[in-house]
Amino acid sequence: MKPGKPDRSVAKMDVLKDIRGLLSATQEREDSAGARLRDEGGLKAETARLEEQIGFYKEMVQRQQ
Amino acid sequence: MGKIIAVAQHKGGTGKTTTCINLGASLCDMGKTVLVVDLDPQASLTVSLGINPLQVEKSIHQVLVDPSVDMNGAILRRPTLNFFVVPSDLDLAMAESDLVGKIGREKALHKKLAPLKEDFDYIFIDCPPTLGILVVNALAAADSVLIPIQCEPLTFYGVKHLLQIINLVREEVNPALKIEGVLRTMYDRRTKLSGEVSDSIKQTFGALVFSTIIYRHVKFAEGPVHEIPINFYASRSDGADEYRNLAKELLTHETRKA
Repeated sequence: MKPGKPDRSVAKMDVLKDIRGLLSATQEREDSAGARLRDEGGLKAETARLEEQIGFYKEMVQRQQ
Repeated sequence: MGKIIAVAQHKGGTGKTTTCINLGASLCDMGKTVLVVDLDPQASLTVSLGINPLQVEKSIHQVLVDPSVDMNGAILRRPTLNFFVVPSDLDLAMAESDLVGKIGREKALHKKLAPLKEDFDYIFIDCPPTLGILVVNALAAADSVLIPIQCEPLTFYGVKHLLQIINLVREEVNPALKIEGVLRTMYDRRTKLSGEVSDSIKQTFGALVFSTIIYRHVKFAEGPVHEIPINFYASRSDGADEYRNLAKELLTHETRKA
C-alpha cells in the first residue's frame, strides 16, 4: 500500500505552532503586567482612602482640643 | 501624549515602508500630527518621499551616534505633505559598529525620540528587515509594534523570529511593549494561497489581526515615482481606501482602549 500524501496545507505549517507558543508566552506576560498595573492602581486607591481617613481624624482631634 | 509605533517584520518587501507612509498620511488627513522615522539603511522611505539620502544634512544615523544632534534637528517637512520625516542614509548601515561599544546602546533611539511624544500624535518607525541593534532600538523606543504580514507562507518565519525578539526586548529593555496589531498585506485576490495564508493568520493571531486587508495594487508600486503617499496621487484608488480604513481602525482601537 502506498503511503498517503502528507498534509501540506498552510494551516498545518509547523512554524504556526511555534508562533502560537510565542504568542501565548507574550499574552501571559501582558496579562501579568496588566494585573500588576491593576494591583498598583488598587494600592494607590487604598493609600488615598487611608490618607483621607487620617485627615478626617486629625481634624476631629484638633476640633476636640 | 503621542504614541510610538514600530512597524517591523523580519522579512523585506512585506509593506513596512508602504504602511508607514500611507497610514501616516491617512492619519494626517484625519487631523493627527505624524512623524515617520526611517530606520532602514536602504532608505526606501526617505527616497519614496522624494528626499535624496546623499543630500541629507542630518539623518537618523547622526541622531543615534552623535550626542550633540537631537531628533528635532533632523526632522524634515515635505512641502506637499503635512507630515514630518526623519530621513535615513547609507551610513546607518554602520550603526551596528558605531553603537556596539556604547553603554545603553539599546536605548539610544528611545532617549532621542521620547521627548517628541509631546509634539506628535503618532510616531511611526520604519524598521529594517533585520533583527539587529536598529530593530532592538526601535522596539525599545516604541509603545507598540505593528507587524505587516505579506499573504505568503514564507513570511511566517520572519514573524516567528520577530516575536522572539519582542519577548526578549520585553524581558530586558521595554516591559510595556505591546503588539498593536497584525496587518495582512499584499493579498492577491487571484490566488487561493493568499486566502489560505490570510485564514491562517486569523486563526493564529485572533483578535490581534486588523480587519482591514491591504491588497496587492500596482498603485502602491508607483509610490516612489510620485514621491508622495497614495492618498495624494491616487486618492480614489482602492489602496488609498484601504489605508484610510486602517487609520480609522487604529483610531477606533485607541478610543476603545481609552
